Amino acid sequence: MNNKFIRIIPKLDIKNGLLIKSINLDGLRVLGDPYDFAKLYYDMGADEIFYSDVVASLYGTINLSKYINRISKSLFIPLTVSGGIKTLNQIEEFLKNGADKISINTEAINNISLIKKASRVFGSSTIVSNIQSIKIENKYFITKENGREIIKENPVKWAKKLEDNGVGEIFLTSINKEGLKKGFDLNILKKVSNSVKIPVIAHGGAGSHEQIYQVIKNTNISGVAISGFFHYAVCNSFKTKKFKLGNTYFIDNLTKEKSKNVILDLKKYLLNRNIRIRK
Amino acid sequence: MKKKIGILDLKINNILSIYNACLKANFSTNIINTKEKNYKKKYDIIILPGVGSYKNAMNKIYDNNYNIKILEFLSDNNKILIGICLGMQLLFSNSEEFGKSSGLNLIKGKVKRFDKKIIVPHTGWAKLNIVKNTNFFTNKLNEQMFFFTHSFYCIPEKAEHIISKTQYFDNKFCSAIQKDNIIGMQFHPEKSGKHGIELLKKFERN
Repeated sequence: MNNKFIRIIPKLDIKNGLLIKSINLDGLRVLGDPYDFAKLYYDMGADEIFYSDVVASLYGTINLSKYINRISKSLFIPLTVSGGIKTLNQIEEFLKNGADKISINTEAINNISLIKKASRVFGSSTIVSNIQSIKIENKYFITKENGREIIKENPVKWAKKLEDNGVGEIFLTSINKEGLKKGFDLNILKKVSNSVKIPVIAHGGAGSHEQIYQVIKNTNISGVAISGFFHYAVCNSFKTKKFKLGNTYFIDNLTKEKSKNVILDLKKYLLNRNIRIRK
Repeated sequence: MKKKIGILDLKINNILSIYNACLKANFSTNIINTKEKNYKKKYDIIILPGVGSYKNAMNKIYDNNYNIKILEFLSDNNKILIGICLGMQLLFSNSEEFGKSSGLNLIKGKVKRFDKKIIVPHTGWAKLNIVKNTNFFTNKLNEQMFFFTHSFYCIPEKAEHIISKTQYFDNKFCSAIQKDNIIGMQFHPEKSGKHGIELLKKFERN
């Protein structure tokens, strides 16, 4: 009997300490302070938070500890941190600063032995790997540096290799679907989640309750990561802060109003369709 | 007077998460310095957290003489030791991780890996099924969910110590245990939202 409970995981993409939202992992728009969003999602009943520093693999991780340290103080649910992690020492530092799980993509591709060592030292359940899958002319590839570089490797094969090297969870982003709110790439999610025996989290494309239900029903995933679909529905409740960095046109023109509980609404929808989920 | 919690740092843990949760549950909280001695004088409760490899964690315990310090602490019946996740598993006699690794042997029994046919690690929220009511664990917890993330589970020699069981696929494993003043939780109370904090608060009151 499959009695796992599906996890609902808000995903926060961070650049220079600010929450941003991209389309196809590109084209960034500032949405606010990640601390506000993380705390709100925790209060609304999120099962976990995924925190991704989108430029850390390019520019380094100097401030990441400081940011997660601040966020973790108000979160009593698991916090997964991703972004430019290259060494065991960095993993230890992030765990010391409030991360519960560490997600690695770029460095896993560059140096798979890091994954092997990390899962031995910190345990498989602490080490996640995000796969950024891209579909080009009906063929799937993986990418590194947040979609900037395409690697000639099939995501299914890559997922198995990660599993063999001790990764405890796959976080699968479909770049072609990301930020479009037109539904998930069921094809690749089905293939990956059926070919490994570790949990797979679906990310990229959430735009309606029905689409989220479909990805849970039609694949073997253990959780769904959601960013824009949640962020845009709640961001007008924080319209008190001013940011000087980046493209803030969108948040500067919001009208302030109290947001509805987006997580509870989604969970109610799924429970009504007999999906096992934490109430 | 607030009760005092000391957290043992095995350097492989989500140590700040536990620290924050203990503060939230209103304990006076400290991460124990490796050089510290005489835990009895300073703490009411010691938490042995843990994620990571069994053998690695046991090596850290021996390197810092934590095993001896814990025994000395437990000689006072009013003191409580709480093992969380891997910390619970370390309380047992041995684990089958990487062949066989010896544990603290404070509770007789072994630690076994989940069947390879199911999704492992077991990562996510699950229910407790309380089989024995205590000061800290009551039937009320059956309605609540807690966060788990583990590939191994404990099999105690004596069923009488089992406090709760949790189902994962066809497996009903021991998710909480108590033997005298030693308590183990396979789930993470520090990561189980409001219910996890409430559970920790019970140790502040009792």
